[in-house]
Amino acid sequence: MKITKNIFAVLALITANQAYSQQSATVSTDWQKSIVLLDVTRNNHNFRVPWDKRAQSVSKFGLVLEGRELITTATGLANHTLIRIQKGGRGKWTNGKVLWIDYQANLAILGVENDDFWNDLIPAKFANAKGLKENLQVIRWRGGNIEKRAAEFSRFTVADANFNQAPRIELKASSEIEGAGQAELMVSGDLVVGLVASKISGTCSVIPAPFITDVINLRRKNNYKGLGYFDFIWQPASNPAVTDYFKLEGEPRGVLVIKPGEKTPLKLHDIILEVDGFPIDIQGDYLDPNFGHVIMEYLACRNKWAGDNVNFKIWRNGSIKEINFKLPKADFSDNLVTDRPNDVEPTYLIVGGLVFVPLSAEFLSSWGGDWQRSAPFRLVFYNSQKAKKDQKSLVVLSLVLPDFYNIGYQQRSSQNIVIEKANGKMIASLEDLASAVQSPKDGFHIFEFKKGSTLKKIVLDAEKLNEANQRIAKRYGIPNLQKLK
Amino acid sequence: MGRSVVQVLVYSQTPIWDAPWRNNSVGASSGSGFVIKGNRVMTNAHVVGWAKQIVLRRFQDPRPWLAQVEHISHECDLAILKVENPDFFDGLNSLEIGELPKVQSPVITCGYPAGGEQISYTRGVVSRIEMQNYVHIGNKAFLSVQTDAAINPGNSGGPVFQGDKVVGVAFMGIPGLENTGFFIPPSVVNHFLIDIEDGKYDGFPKAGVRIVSLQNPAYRKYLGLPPTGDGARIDSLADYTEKDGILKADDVILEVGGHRVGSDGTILLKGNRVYCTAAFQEPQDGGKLKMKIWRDRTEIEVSVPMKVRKEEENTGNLYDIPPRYYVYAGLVFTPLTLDYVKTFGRNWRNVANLEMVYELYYRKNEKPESARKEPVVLAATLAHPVNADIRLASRAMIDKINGKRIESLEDLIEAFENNDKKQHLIKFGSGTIESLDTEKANQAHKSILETYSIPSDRRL
Repeated sequence: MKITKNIFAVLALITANQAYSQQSATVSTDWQKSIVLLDVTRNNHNFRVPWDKRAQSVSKFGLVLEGRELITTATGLANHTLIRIQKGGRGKWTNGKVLWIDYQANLAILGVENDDFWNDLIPAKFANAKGLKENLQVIRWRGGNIEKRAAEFSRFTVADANFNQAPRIELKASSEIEGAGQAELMVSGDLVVGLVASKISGTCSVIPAPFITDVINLRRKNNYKGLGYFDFIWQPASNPAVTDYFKLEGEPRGVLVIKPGEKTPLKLHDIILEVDGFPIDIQGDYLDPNFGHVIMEYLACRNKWAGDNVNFKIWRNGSIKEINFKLPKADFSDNLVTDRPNDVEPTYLIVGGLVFVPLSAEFLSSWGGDWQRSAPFRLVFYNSQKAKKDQKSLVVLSLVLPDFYNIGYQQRSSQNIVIEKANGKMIASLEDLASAVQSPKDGFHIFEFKKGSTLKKIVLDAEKLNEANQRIAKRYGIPNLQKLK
Repeated sequence: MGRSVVQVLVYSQTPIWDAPWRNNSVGASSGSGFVIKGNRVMTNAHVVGWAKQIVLRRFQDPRPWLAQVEHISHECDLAILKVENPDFFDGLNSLEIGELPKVQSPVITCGYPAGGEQISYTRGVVSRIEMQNYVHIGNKAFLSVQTDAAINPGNSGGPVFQGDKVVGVAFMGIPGLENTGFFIPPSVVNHFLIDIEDGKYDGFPKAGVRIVSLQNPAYRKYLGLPPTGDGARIDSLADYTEKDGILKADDVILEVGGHRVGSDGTILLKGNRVYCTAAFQEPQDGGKLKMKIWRDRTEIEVSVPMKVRKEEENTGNLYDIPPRYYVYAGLVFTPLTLDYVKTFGRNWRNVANLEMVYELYYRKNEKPESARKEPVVLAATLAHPVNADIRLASRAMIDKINGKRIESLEDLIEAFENNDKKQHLIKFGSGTIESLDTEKANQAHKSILETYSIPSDRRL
């Protein structure tokens, strides 16, 4: 036994040496020591049946960084229960853990407790902004071998704000690789150009290397403040009659603010002429030295982070003004539909079979990729509205679990309606609702829904509530009747 | 009997709702009709809607007879035709309207359905009687009788017989369902006939209440009623009903028009359980409806004045009245209607922007105080240098023009015509702003109308 062990140790030493020699021969890297396979098990929640969990397995890739860390995309890591890592495309799996994650940046850094894991791995090097376009290849593990597929640079875009995603620069590249979008490497020569975040038909969306390196550096210095965003809405000022109306001197240029935000000091009908010295054109684009013409929105992220100062040159009331303000953090707390609660189990409250959930982005997403069409219109419409002072968020009656206690409220008209008051109290959160249910009115629980709802009012018997709750929990196999923040 | 059933041959032309001065090409269609007292012919509204020419053919008579619409109800899908030459009625008996037939009783449909030239009879039974959405108008439900007697295209407007009486007017089928045809029952036919006795069609009055079942024992106890028993609850009221102040939320309707109301909201109508809104449709416009109501733990009697309501007209299909519009400097404005949004295609709900759908269907229920009398949209832009810089060129809701909030097409015209500033400022529902140079727009206005052959810049 002892002998075998010794041989093993010697073998390991040899492989490590080989690795070292390969690293010095920079051109011939074949990536197999820099990319690892991740197997993530996660709880997939159904936000419409919020107590229900389904274990799901996701395969992803990780890139080896300096300092014994891996980087991957954040997608698919939410609510993970186990992360296993395999190097070399075969063999033993090692447990990993998330050291840092930011869903808006869509990046996560993983660590491994066992130090030996790192022995034969080589940290990758990232390309700089000038080296993102030529000789692109997509790299991943496939059936125990490294697969390399050609890719062709297409353009840089700023990712669409689907729900509350902060604007991010994306590199678009076309490739025939199948089923990509799990943090495969996009490389050019021996440098990493980015991580493939998603792929739709033939086009890969890639998080580009300069953004990744910025995030890694800030996080190392413990100085990552999160992404910022512009909280106002603008329109291009391309119609000269519009700029004439606002008496803008000189050529038409810039964009017109049509919905000011609460966190930035821009006013209605300010014309934004420059941001941080970059002139804004009539389309709302600026010329980025690295990425070409991209939408102005990206200036909220270009070397800027939440809390950094941004300088605007604007046209207001017939003269040019300069304003400075702190970039708000992209937490979208002023939205009526609450942000994606990542890594948080869905919250809910079941009262006599009535299932209440927060109106969240995740809840709307449970209608699938085309939720904007398939989710109930009324709920979708709230997504375009800002929070109000007396109601910062909304609670939906999403489902009624049939029981004789709630008979009369089991039709479809009592599904997906937004509650306004419970026992006379305004409801903006499940906590509000939970506390309102503590004080019934004359033996009744009275739930009132928003004006125009398909059902305006529900009354339940307060005395029989506990009994009904227990019966319903048992009959429908619900471990907890409530899960609050 | 069959002699009094006639064929209705129609050439019709529908407008193009997003180019409202234009029409689609002329289409030919046919239906059936039957003679009723007073030398008149009854048929379906959908047979003669948008008609440019109506020709009747009698049983085994080759001659064409020209007819015109005298009265039409698009909501209950009925129309009365007048024949130019009174000789038409020679030898034709007028048919009498009978009673609501019983479920399972035999009926015979009669008309000129597709698949041949001659009159056709089919036999079936009354399958069921219920409130049904009438597809011609699209947003209203009336009592309707289902039968397994074949009702096919061309049958529309033909009578359904029981014995020698007409017990209904055949009017629709449901695609995908077999052996189901629907006919309009005598109560609806008679309501229409009584309505037009004064020479004018008013319509069916509307209560403007949402009635829901009252079956939860706790809710019944809360209102002071026994755990089981009669009565359905008023859950919410339309803005106009609330203003009338006669009915209130949480009123329990125990009886309406002499019919007891069950806890599921149904009444017993000649042996059939149907939704109680059937009773609300019995009075004529301006009539009263007697109700027994449970309110504040007491039974009271109320007499509700019933009125025809036009508030929801734009969410149903519109007929026979050419669309209103105004074209200014190539910008085409028209009221927001279901017909307009249908020009986006079958999946218009996905194509239309959220504000538009909200405005059409939700705002008047949720925020009646901010609802507009007639929301207006920019339907299209007819390209010309004067408007070429406008980016938002179509399918956009109008909020304000030159600072004036637009409540109707008339408002919009006034806002353009009375502007003394150098630019017109158009603010859309989304908050987007566009502008036109006033002087250039006024100059281009006429030539744009000529270029695009628009006979008039407005139809009001």
